[in-house]
Amino acid sequence: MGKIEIKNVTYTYSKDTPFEKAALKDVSAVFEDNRITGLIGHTGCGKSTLVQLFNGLLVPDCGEVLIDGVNVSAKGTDKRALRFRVGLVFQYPEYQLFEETVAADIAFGPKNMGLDDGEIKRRTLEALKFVGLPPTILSESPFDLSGGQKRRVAIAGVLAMEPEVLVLDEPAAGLDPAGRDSIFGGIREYQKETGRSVIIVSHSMEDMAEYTDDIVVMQEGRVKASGRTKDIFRQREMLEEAGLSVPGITLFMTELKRKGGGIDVGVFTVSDAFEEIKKYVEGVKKQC
Amino acid sequence: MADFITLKDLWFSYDPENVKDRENYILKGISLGIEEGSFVCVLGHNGSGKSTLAKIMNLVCTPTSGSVTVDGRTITEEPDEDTVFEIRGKVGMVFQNPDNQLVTTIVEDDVAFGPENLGVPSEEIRKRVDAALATVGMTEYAKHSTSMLSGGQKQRVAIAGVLAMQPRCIIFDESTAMLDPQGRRAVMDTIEKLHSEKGMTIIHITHNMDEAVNADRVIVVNDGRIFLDGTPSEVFSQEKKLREAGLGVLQVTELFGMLTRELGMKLPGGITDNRKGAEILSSALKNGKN
Repeated sequence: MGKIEIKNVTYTYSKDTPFEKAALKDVSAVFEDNRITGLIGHTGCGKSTLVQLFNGLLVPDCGEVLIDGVNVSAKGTDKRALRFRVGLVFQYPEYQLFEETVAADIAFGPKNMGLDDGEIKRRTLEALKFVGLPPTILSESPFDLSGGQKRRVAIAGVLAMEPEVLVLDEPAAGLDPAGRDSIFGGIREYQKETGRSVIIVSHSMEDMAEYTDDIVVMQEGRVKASGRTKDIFRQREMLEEAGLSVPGITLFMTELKRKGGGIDVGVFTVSDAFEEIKKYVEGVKKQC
Repeated sequence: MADFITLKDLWFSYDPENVKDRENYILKGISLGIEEGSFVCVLGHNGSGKSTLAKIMNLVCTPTSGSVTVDGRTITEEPDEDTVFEIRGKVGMVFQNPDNQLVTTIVEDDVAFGPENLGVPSEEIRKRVDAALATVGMTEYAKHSTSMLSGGQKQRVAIAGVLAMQPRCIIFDESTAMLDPQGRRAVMDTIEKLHSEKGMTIIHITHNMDEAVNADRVIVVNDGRIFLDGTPSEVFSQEKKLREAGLGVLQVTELFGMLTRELGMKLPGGITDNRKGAEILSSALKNGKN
């Protein structure tokens, strides 16, 4: 559930004015269902434009956006229903909180979907669990919470709509390392338990390497590469061309290989690097 | 060199009337000296008190008890307006959100805003604005609209605005947190240049470990107290304590920790540089062979 296909999509801002700017140029990409896909690219590459096509905030000039095979970009599509199917969490979503209590804020989306109170309650509690907040927080004002807690409440509000596709734009920006781990850990758990699709936009290659299954790389309004995360991070030159980098640990392993030794550089998490060196050390011991 | 900023047994609460137990204060008995001309990085998790600490240093907040001394001038209670202006002229501050700190529509007007308010003569303002924009590498944007800049460019304009007031110290309160990697690099380069070329005292608050590796000194704040204080390699070698404080370490430091703990390899702690780390590990692996 929640497979997104983009077919030959073009999108231009301020079309037919002197400020015309082509943001997407004949983009085709597939975001497979039941997994976490990372969307990466240099600032201004069109990532944010692309995700706004998923739920009809923007309509492509030409081309198609298909969700589970159904074209949602056609004129006359039920945009309201589409927004319940594709949940978008913008950057710094905590600025969008507005209700008097956390409970009311999380319930805002589900209520608009016309759900009954029992179902809203169930969804609210489940969403809180994924973002790691206790139910006691429900009666508090969202404005009395810390920045990190507000962020979680805002994400919970979108999770409670149970969208087929969940899109998060820099969900951990500005959070400390423990906060990052907890947000990304919660997202991974949510994806595994629900089997729905998750798309994460981020500049952190370390987090992308750790938490995504697939990656789509964009550059200057086009898709430059896509595939399994481990295959994408093997292509250091391609990523550098796109103005990106590889995770710090991959750079380290490349340096290590340069110093000699049969070490695999296709390593992009610390635990993989550890296993690789362990294998090497044990191999040496066996030879002795 | 002598300390530019000194804190003595500093306690702070936003609401001291109602917070009776000092254990619930935001800052709890901090004593600290910031040496003139040094580059100090302050790390801490969200809510640790690190931003409040910064606000004390340029009198956005005044100590509930204890004292803060800036350039020889000691403040213990609510200061008068002249003192506040004097201190803020010496200690500038750049905040987190690039959209919240530009006040005018044109770049050079924004940079001129500070010195204008200080009553600096207009020819002198012109000189200062040009020099400040050159320092942050934004000269060609002088006549541009502030709203059309990227986040990193906006932060550099904000830095120029502070520079034009000619402070001796700048505090960066998570000024890189909202930027993309390129914007972050540009701001970090600017910060490092202000330190190395202009000899300014820099206090950089962040939770990006990689921004702390070039600092002279790293201070970790946890629960309102100073938790760790030392050179980057001294602090980063204490991975367990950093995690306790809700922070992490660089990936290479983490890997070295795992190799030491689980494979019993003899490796130094606190390695932050990939190249140096690779050299050390590769010779350790080769020695293992023999």
